[in-house]
Amino acid sequence: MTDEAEQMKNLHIESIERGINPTLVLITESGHDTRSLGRMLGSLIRRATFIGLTGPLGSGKTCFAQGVADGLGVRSRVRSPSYILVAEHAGVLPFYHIDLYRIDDAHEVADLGWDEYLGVDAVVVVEWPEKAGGLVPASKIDVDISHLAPLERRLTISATGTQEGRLVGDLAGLLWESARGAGEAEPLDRGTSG
Amino acid sequence: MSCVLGIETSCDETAAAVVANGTEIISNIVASQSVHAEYGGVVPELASRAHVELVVPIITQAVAEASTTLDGLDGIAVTQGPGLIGCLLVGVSVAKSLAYALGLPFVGVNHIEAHIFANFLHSEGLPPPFLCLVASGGHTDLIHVSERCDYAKLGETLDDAAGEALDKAAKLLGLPYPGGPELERLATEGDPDAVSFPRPSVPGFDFSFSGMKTSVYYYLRDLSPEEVERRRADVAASFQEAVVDTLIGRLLEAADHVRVDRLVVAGGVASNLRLREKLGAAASGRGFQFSVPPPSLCTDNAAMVAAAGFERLRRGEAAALGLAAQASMPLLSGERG
Repeated sequence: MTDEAEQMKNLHIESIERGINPTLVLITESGHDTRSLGRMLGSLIRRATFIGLTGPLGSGKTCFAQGVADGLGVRSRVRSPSYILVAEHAGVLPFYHIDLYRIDDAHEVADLGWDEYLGVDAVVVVEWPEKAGGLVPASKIDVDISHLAPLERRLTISATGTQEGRLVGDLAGLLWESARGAGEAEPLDRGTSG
Repeated sequence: MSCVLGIETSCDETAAAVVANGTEIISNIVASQSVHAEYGGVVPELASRAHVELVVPIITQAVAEASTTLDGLDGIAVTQGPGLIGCLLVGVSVAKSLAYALGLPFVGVNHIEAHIFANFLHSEGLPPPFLCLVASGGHTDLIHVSERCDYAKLGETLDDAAGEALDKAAKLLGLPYPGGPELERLATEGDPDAVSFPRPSVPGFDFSFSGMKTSVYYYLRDLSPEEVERRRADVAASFQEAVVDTLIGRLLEAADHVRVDRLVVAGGVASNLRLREKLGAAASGRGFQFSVPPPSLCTDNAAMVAAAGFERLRRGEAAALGLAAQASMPLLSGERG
């Protein structure tokens, strides 16, 4: 197995929907898997991209964001930005990690300098994007995380927009390859060598 | 006497203070509900616009309460980072303007360093060397202070800050944000041993509170609404206990490791009474000297900024007017932000 496939062995693909708005549904078995999935997405990003992360407290939004940052080559520590609202990191592209948890209405989102963060060539990952209402851009990747069991999560990754659709399509391809490499299609694990 | 004006706008609080000789608080103003009422209008929960509206009145008030004028100041200190860039810019811009107009030296101060300096602003503060835990809504850092301005970071949170974990657990219990103080009040009615929440262990002297928060979610999810209501105080007390135990455990482990005999706690979470009491008992039981600033100096304030700024200015580290706010400003040069 390749390193990537090794990382992916606990990711289970529930469905892949291609087309205009590609959608991926996956189950992860731990925060480690959720981070690996984010890392895979981050490693595919080459241009300004908006990623919205929805899901209840403790579902793993920050965990996914840590993975995206890692995939983008961010070396500073990515933590929950709930308190400071926006954390700026440097990667292959600038990485802006925004958390609207504490925001009460969309007016306050504008006050944060939202337009400035979204107006540059950067990867913008937003937790609780629903609080921004109509300020969320039309072209985006949505990642919704739901609790299944204490460690298990269901992630639904969907794209709106041409470039975003291509990204999620590429991610699907990568996952599919990894799943096959990891023996996902077969009942028996073929071992860990290789 | 040397009077330094401190300005703090790194996050939610707009604050200004005048401190003499780095230790004596002459005035210390933090924008609170009463100030909002005084200046009228609806104040946004957060964000730079509120700082823009409040910073000049707050500085004016701090200078007036110090029974001085702007001409009576000897230096200006401002929080340069870490924090929200738009908010930091407000304080930094005002500080630069004042410094330029008054011909005064000014200096940018790290917010975490300022929290450490709160220790030097009260009578029971300890001299270095000491080990300092800075715990707030945005930070959880273990810092060895060998002397003023000489730091080594031993550990930090890998995900959520301690204060954030308390706020979020409060939210899961249906308490209003910011829920830390509400959770603390509810906890006084509960049994800290009622629920055994995990005390996660991470390598070294780092912290992780994210899993602890998730365990509250699962504990509550499996209860009926009536049960949740009946056990709220117990959950609050038990969760607070898990956070407090984790902070104390790490602080004492690190203290043994670096062989210091003085412990200092700072930051907003240091105003938590359970933490103050339990750490006080644990520290004295093991022969440590222990100090925590009064609650008003634990939460964000500008007196601590002025105190740190005084020390930096005394060392001849005045900044040029080109100083830039830094959202992810590291405490130590060369540290990853």
